[in-house]
Amino acid sequence: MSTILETSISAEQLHAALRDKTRDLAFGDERMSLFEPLRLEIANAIHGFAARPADGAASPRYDAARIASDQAAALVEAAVPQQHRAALVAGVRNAAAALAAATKAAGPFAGFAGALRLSTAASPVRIVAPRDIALGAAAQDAPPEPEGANYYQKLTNLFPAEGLALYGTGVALYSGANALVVLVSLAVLGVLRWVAYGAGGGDQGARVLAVAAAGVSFLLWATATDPKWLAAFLTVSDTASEQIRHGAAFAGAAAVLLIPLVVRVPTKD
Amino acid sequence: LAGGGCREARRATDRPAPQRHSNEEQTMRRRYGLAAIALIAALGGCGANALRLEMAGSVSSSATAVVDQSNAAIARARAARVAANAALIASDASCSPGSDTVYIYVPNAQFDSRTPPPPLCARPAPAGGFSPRPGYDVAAVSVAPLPEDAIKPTLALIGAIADYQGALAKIVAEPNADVQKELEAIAAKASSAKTLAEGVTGAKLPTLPDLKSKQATSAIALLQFVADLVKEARKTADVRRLVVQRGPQVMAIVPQLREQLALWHGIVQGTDLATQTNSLLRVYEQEKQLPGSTFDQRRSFVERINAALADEAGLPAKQAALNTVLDEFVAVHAALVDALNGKYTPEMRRRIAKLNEQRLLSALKLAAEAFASWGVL
Repeated sequence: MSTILETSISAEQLHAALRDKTRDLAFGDERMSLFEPLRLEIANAIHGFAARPADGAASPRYDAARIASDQAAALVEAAVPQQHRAALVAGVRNAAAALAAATKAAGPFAGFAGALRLSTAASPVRIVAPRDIALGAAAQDAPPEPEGANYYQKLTNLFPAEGLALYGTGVALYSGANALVVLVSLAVLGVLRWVAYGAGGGDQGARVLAVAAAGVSFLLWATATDPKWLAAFLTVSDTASEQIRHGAAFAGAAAVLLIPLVVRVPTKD
Repeated sequence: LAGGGCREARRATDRPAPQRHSNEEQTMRRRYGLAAIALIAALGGCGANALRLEMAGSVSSSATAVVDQSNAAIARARAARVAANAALIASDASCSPGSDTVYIYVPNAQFDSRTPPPPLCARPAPAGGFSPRPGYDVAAVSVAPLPEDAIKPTLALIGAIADYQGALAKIVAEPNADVQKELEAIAAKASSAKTLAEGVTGAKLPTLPDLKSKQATSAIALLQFVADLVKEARKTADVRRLVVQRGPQVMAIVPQLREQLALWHGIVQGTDLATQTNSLLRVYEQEKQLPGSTFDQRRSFVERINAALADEAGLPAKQAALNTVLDEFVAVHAALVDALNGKYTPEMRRRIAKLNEQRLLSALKLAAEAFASWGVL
């Protein structure tokens, strides 16, 4: 796990190694044709990395950039005049790319986490102390972001479209509804929704309810489409199967109406 | 706490001063007088408060140094970026100003040092993209100023320390009451009121006691001494409240500020200073070959390069100075917290003892003079 500062220091050591080569007369024209453009690229990557939102915490996602920088720095330091440069160039470019990646990617779920956030609480505070002290009440009074306000948007938010897409794919692959497809889809849906409703320290109870609502909607919808998957758990006659299907369709319709009343989805008004 | 005793002493002196009634009460008055002297002396013994306020003053100056130097460091980093961007663009005729990004040729794995190097900047090709150069890719390099959004958290950290400093300085700098001045103002008002009343009524009203009389002077001196000590105790209590409430938060900020300064001032500025120097070096290599280049031109250019190199070489020392200022702030703050909690170093104990001794003597002297001039003793 590397912190922003540790990663920056590694990048700075690579930069210093390149800079030293640009000043070393033994390297002749390579000072400006090879080392200086590489140095500029690393400097640019450092600028970008420094300007990224600072969360201060160590993160495994900086490790790649740090390791690449350290390796490249070793290559540059060891470079002697009149040498094949492929490895050195590849190493430095790789470090620049890794730094750029660390600048952009804030984790595998970064863009996703909190996308359907339930709470209207502000995004997580990056640097805690100055908000408390310097910015004080002004920071607290920032208006909440406008979020889905009307009923249809609520329904869209709660309707588990991604689960259904997975389920559809599974049914196509296994040529028919079976318990495995339904349960796997349900599990994936649960995880996705859990992440998507989360982030920012919202109301955990509402999060659980919303995930449960999505799961129930999905099960009802899957049953209403084809109740055969229930055969894995109980013996269902064809007549009963049809009744279950109708029942599930009704319950699904009822759920669509009832769930928004139970699950608190933020509204502006 | 050492301050506890001081507060009790203060409360005790709030008792009404004994008044002269009759000769029969002479012994009683004498006892009161002696007790009052003892209490004033005890109050004067709170040298620790003086030391604490002095330390709060040091914390305040130290915080001012942190704020000033941190702001200066950010300003230097900003200026270095602007200068580096200009130098980079101007260093090669292939680069043009007017955009936040320049595109430069960066070697790739096919780099061969025998092929003639491309210009620094890549120009867009008519067909889109950039004219390709064997052994090189084109990379975008930002020539924008330091992004203000990214610096804002650092400035907020500095602002938080500045707020703390301001609050401390305000407490420490609060003026003590000037008893003589207050009494003179009251006397002046009373005197003009008396003149007015005499003019209206035609009667001769009694004159106010003279503030310059021996009794009044000694009483004022004693009052001033007590007022100062009470004020000192109040200020110490205010400092204690501020340090308890805000101190831990501010101290938690210091490591964050240290990191931010290391990043912006040490690392990012370092790359910009290197860009300035190397841009000058690139231009020097080009221009020294020109037929019209003279010794004087080359010499002044070399001097500029040397100055840029010296700037670069001086950066670690400036960074170390920043860290020293932060270290000192942490150290004096910790010492203040210790002093407020009654934990003293042997040197502090010696100073407190000395202060107490001096104050005890002044208290005794002032009290004795006052009570003697009033005839209590």
